[in-house]
Amino acid sequence: MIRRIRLVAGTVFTEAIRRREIYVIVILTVALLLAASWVRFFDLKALHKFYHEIALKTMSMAAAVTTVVLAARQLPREFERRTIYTVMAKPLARWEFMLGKWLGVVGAGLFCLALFMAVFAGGTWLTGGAIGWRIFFQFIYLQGLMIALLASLAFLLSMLMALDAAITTTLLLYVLGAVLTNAMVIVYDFVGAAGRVLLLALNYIVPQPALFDMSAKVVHEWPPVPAWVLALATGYALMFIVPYLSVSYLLFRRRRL
Amino acid sequence: MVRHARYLFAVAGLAALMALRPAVVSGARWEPELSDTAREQVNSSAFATILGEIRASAADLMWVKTERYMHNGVAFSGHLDENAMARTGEVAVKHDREHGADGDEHDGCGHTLIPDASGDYRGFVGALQREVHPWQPAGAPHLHSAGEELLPWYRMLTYSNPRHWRGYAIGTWWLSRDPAARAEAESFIAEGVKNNPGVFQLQLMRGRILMQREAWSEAIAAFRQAAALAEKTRPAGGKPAPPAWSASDEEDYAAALRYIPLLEWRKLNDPAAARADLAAALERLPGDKPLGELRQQLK
Amino acid sequence: MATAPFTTPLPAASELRPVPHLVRGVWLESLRRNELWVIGILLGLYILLALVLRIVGIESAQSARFIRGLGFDLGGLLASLLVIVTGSRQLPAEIELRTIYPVLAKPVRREALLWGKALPTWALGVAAMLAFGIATLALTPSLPQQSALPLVAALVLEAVALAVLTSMAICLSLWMPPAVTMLVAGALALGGGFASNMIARVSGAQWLAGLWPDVSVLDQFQRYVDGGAALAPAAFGGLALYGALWIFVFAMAAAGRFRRMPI
Repeated sequence: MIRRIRLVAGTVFTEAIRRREIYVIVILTVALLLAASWVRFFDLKALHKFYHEIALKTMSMAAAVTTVVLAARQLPREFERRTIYTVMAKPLARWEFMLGKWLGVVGAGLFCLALFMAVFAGGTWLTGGAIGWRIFFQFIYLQGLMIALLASLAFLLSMLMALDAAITTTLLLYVLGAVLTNAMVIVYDFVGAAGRVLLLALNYIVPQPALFDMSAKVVHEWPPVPAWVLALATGYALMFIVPYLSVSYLLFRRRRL
Repeated sequence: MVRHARYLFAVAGLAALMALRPAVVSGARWEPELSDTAREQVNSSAFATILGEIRASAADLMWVKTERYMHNGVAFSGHLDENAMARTGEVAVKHDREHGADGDEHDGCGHTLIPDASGDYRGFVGALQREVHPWQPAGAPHLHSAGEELLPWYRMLTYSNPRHWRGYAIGTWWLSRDPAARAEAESFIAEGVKNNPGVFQLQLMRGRILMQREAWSEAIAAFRQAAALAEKTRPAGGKPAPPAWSASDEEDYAAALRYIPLLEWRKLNDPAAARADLAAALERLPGDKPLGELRQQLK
Repeated sequence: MATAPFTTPLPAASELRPVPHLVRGVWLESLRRNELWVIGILLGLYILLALVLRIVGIESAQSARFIRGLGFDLGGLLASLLVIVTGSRQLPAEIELRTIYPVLAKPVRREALLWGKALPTWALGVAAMLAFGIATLALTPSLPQQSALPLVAALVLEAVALAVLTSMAICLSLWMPPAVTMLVAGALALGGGFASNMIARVSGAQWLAGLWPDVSVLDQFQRYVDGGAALAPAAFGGLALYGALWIFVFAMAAAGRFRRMPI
């Protein structure tokens, strides 16, 4: 079973990293950041916070978009290209196939993130900038969780709606994540009892990508978080990933070939 | 030649765009009816806080960013009156005097956007947010970052929106705190004045920067310019009538008028001119305490 | 794959005759694939947000104005995102799935195929923008100084902006993979104005700003929201021409690329 899942995941991963997509995104992002570094800011030297913030935000967003586009097209493409028939003719359960696909996408997303982070770390080291390495690795871990979450959401939405709609909706949730989290805090004081119950339910039902974004702590050089925070974030991510993948599987299983 | 005709057409289109854009942009420009002061009053309301992250204007977003940088990333729920903060530096001075600056600890910056555990209905989700994002309990002593860290954002926001005069005003003030960057401060405020010739607060700030390099006559000219510009919008008697004229506008106007006789007397050693300008200032601001004290001293 | 006969640089009207059929085909395909779902979902989210804002309270005319402006901005953002995502994938998906061959085997010029892809994508964006516009008008309080003419002008110019974004996404998708196209087009859509201003100011050369597509100048909703007078006809024409020129540039670049592209 594990071997079969690994095979599917390996195929998706290899296909993804062989495409020029990831590398073009990395090169373009780095070029953009280099262009930003040429802008003159009053001849100030201590600009590392500013550059760290721009770099981390741009890189996180680029990795997220890459993952979402890659994830959303996995399952629909199998049906559109009719390659699903070949796959299903093999001794491979649909859930193994789907899980393998998801793992492959997450692997590719992490590969993209790793490239970005290597560039970031290299750039920081070369420019002599200071960074708290422990919190930086914690940031990468949480970004990895977010990639896994976005991939599972894109899988689910791609089974429910057209590909473009799935990509747009997932990206929108990612882009508006911080607004969503702020809104749920602020609105609470303004609503009645029914509204509060609704907000409480939404708080647990709607995934909040902002909870995986530790970039501000990295930028402002905060100390690392305790291990229980990482465990809690992992639990929080799984709280969405498991049901999303389960429902995706149910939809995938029921889908007529 | 014909094989590449489409690309040539595209290049021709680009050439036309390069020529056309300046005219198009000036024709399309819309000066919002809301004054900046009124906009920021609106921006401090609850819904604006909710939507703070998706403001259409990149300049607004960067403005919010400067506040976050000021507090090492901790998001406060409108703890600073943006209108006041964006003034000519006095509020920033006051804020620093009261709360400490540049790595100093202080408390009392209002409440954080992320509530503490006792006021948060979100359970473990709230706990996670408090750990993942920069956060400290409201009222707890916290650090102010160095103002230098804010400066790139002021530069970016004024590049993005050259009419964001508050960006010029407060950016200049932060620059002026560094003796080595005073020339930069002067050129930044000059750029601000050039892009916002009708904003009297920028002339006031320019006057203050000129005072730093002891260019007294030029500073007095800037303060005169500030007062003259302010009088174009100041209501009779100077009674605050937001959004057109706020209490802080009146304070800035008064500051400009006070500087003129003070510098003429103390720095230019010209009591006659000082008396004349003091009398003119008192006509506009009857009963103004600092001007009254100056009159006593001049006597 | 043989390319279509090439006689003149620009297609004659008769050569674009298949376009309506292609548009209809793509539009029907969109309906069949439930692509309009996305408008429904986004609109639902938007209505929820607007209701939340009403709960929070609209205390003054300034707040009402602010919310209405934000509503149009958000509608424009969502419609832009939609045309970028859809436009970025149209042709690469056809090429990848090889469904482009039967179309190219017919007597259809490649330009016609491009227009056939672009028009329904743009129509989808305009439909989304109008849906958000109507929701904004219905859910936010109106102010006496807000009049119809500036609103109509703003809607028309926003439709032009969506056409620029559609043509940009389709054009870039012929050079770049879809994810890259989405990122680049998204960055240009959101930050084109900022980039133009930056480049002009940092370099000191105003003309350089013209090289970047800046759809922010076509956003005239704030003028309507603030109760401003309608744009002067010359200014409106200038903006429309600016948008049309960008569409032309992208259309020519896309046609040049697509004609030679090995499929």
